[in-house]
Amino acid sequence: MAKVLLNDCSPDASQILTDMLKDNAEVVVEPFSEQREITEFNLVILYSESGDDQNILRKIKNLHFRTKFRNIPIILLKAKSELFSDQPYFNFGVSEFMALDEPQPIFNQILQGYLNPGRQPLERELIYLTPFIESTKNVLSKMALMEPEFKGVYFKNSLRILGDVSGVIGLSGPTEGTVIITFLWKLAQRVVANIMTVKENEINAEMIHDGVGEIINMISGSAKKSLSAASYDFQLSIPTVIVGWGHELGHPDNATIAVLTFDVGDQAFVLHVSLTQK
Amino acid sequence: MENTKTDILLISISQELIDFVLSVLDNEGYCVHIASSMRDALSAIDSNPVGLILCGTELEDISGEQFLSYLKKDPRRESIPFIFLLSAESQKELSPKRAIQLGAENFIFFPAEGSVIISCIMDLLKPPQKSQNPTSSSIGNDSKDLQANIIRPGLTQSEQKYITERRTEKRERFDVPIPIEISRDTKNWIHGFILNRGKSSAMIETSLRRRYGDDIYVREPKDETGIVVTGSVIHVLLGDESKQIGFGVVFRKNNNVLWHSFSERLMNKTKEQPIAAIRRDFFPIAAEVSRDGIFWIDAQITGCDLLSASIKTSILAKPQDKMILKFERHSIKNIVDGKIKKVELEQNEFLSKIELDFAEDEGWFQLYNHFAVIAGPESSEEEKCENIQKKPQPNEIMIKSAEDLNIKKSDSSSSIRKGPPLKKPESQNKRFYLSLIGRKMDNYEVVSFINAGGMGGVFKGWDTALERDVALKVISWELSSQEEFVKMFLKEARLVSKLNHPNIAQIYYIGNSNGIMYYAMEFIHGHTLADSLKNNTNFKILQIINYLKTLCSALDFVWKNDIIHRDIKPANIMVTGSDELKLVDFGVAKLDKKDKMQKENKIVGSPLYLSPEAIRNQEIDNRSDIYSLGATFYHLLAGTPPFYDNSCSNILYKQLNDPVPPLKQKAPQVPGYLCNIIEKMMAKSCEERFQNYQEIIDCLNSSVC
Amino acid sequence: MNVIIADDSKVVRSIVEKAIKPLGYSSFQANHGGEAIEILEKMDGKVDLILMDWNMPIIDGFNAMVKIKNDFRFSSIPIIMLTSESDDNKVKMARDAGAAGYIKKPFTQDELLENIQQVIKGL
Repeated sequence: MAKVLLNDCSPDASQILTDMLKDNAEVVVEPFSEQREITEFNLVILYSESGDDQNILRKIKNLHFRTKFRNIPIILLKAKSELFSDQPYFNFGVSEFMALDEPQPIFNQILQGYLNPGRQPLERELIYLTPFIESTKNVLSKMALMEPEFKGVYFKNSLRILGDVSGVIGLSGPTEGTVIITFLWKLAQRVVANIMTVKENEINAEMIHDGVGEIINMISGSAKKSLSAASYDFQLSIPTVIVGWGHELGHPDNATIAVLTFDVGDQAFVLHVSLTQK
Repeated sequence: MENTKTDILLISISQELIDFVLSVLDNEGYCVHIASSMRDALSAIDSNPVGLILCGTELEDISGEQFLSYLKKDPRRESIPFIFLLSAESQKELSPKRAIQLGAENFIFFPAEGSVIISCIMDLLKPPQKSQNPTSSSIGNDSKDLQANIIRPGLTQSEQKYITERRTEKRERFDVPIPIEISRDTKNWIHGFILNRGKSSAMIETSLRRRYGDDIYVREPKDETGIVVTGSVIHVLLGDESKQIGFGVVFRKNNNVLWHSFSERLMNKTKEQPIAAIRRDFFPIAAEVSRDGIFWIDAQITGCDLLSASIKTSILAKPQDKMILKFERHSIKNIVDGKIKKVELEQNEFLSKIELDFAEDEGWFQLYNHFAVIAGPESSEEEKCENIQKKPQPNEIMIKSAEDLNIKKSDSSSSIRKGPPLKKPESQNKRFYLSLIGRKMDNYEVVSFINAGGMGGVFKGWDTALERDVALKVISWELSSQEEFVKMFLKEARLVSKLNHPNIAQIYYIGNSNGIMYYAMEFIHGHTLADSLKNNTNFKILQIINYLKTLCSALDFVWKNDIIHRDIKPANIMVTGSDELKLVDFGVAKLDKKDKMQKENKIVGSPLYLSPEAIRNQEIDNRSDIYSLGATFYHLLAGTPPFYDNSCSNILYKQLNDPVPPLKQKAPQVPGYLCNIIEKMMAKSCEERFQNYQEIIDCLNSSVC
Repeated sequence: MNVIIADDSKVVRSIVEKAIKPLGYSSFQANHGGEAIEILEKMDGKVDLILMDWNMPIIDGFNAMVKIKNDFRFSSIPIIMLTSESDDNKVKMARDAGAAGYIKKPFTQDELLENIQQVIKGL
């Protein structure tokens, strides 16, 4: 049974949601807490009545941080639909933005949509995902002496960067696509410090740039060999390193976006892979 | 008019020929412009008083013949005399006779002697007189300017400057260009730089486009004195690709005195102020940057000078790296290559401040001027509002967090673009469909979204139990929340799922996963007939007859199972890779159609093929499907639907009342008997139609009707 | 021993530098192929080994190698290519153009040292 966490919900909102979800989910109602472990949940709903956006965004960011890049959609729920842009919320990791006054059926359907379990990768998808998983582990263990643990893959509908620093590499040729590795700042610092065998506090922006760029380059470069054996042929572009949250990359409409999550100790990072064969 | 056009435009791809002709014309004092492509040539004509064109048979981009016919069609340019430069080899492609027929005034056969060329040209264009301008003797220098400036596109800026220098007397040249502002109407001022100056003339670098003879006004930047000097353009300075990068200006009459004191003062002022003075900082201007030309990410230009700019962006990079800047707004569209000079990462802010060096890309100059103008104090409020990023309005979200900037940016547009532009905010339906991507419904995995129709969204799915591709149709939330629809849908879908026919897409499963209604059906690798129509596929008549027979027998089978399709249309007929037909979307669209008609007033797929009785909401039977099938094949044969109008209600009215437009008129190639069959299928009254599918098949087989 | 390390990534340069330091090699860093050639000129060819990244801005590693190998003053200096792309094609290309070794990124310190020593022994 799915587990849903309701944060900061007003009695009204809790009632409505509990009624809606009671048939197929276990609902936990709690005030927002920065320390709460949330990886056990399948869905988090954060309710907000006030217009204190700074506070909401802080909470969303914190929630997203605690999901450890897992497939845990965060839904921001407001009492009323408002006319301002919901883009900032998406930029901080919200999957859906809903209001209690939206028509009940669509409200329910969207919730149920997110509650359906995530799908497993198909065999043909594993053909190109496995080399990336292997090369990611290989690069980090060889270069950074870290043993990342592959936690799983899920599929998303957008290529949005939700992390502090990302290395992006474009694949072009008979196979087109994008590979992105995203870290939170602290882990990026640790990885680069390990690679360079220096202390974490000696790491500056230039080193992060070189380090993250080199990592994504090595990951794609070493995946390339096994991929071309599986008839995925491409050239690699120069890596681009981007800092900050919420950047969205365009992708072909029907392309599958696979999200590979990894843990390193108590921290996590994520690799987005989107490939299409022309 | 004639005497104002003094220049010759020489177009050729042969450097040898250019050098030769140039040496001949130079001696005579003609001002010659050179081009090797149509693009260069046209821009040279536009920015210079071209009075004669000499053109070879081949240009870089098109042939001389094509270029001439292009010119002769253009009323502004057709009066310029045109001389073809021919040679023994090129005669094969273009005979002298043909050249004259096309409208060329004359032709010169090469190799030719200088005197031949001159005499040929003299007929059409007199060489410039030594004292052409009668206004005052004191400006004799300037008319020399005019004659002497041979501008050769393709040379670098500095080479051009050198030529300009060499040919003008006593011009004072500056190591550091002196900033000024210029205008053509004294209202809008644009930045420019004085490259050199004479007593009554100057060379000005600017992106303001002016032609020979136009008046321009010059003043100090951020002018406080109110002094404006009036001058007139005497020649145009061209840069790479013949882009206009500036012009020479002459100050006549009293203006030369004014000019002298004006420039004197400016020079003194500039000496006091180092070059940094021309650096301008302004309100952030939105642009995009990229490292590889594939991923573009938003950036803000916060300041710039002649050779560099400071930008803020989320891309991390380091000094010496290449970075491309793109700016597209209004008429300005430019991509410039820059090199990173300096990078500063703002603490706690996910933005780098980058100094970009554009010394190697002249395209920057145009952008610089544009930015300088929109950022300058004189620009109109309107323009500022348009170009400069808006300050947060009270009703917008004010976020004082570190990513403040980031959010507002992404707010206006997505941050990184690759390939097609990103979509607008999704509708509720789309939001619903997107929530399903990457999820699992019962035994089916939702792999990717294919499209959305009136009844629901279609996804590509994977059957984990039987390990095969499936198409998943998820019923829209609006329909699945109507109990009546759900009942009917389940009943009919169950019936249809029992149909087993090679031309019917089979329904494998009808599901309800957490209240989400869907059915899984055969995944067909192919396209619909609607796609074929969209792509203007030409069908062979025989192929269409086969299609019609196939569908008739499939529908006959359906009918004998007591099912009617109700929504036959090209979009519901699929063609597989092996050219087999598959009828999809069976019998489940009943409620959907009524809804559409009542609620929406725009064209949806169905009304074009809807039978009169279905429109009247009467009881329908297989003869309604026969009508829709007839309308579908009418469309395939004629290329247009039988009734067409821009509103749904008009189409429905026509379906009800208008006679079917004779197919033979729209598609004369269609055999008469086939026209008759289609028209009989589309009879208004169902009694007059074929009564069953077998009749149609028989009729087609006997080929007479 | 003098070693030139040409790689546009400071991170890689520093790893390699640290790895070879214990062997008593002194290293010279170049940001791209052009710089590597400049250093060669400056040092009058008194270089014992060049470690060269393939993908670099301005002059890439392969072109730099071809230039060096075609210059009689430098042609005897062994070059090891360092690259993340490990197709057999590229390895062959590098060998054909005169590379003495080919190290695949990512590499461990041991792999790097082993490769370097192999090349030096082979001389």
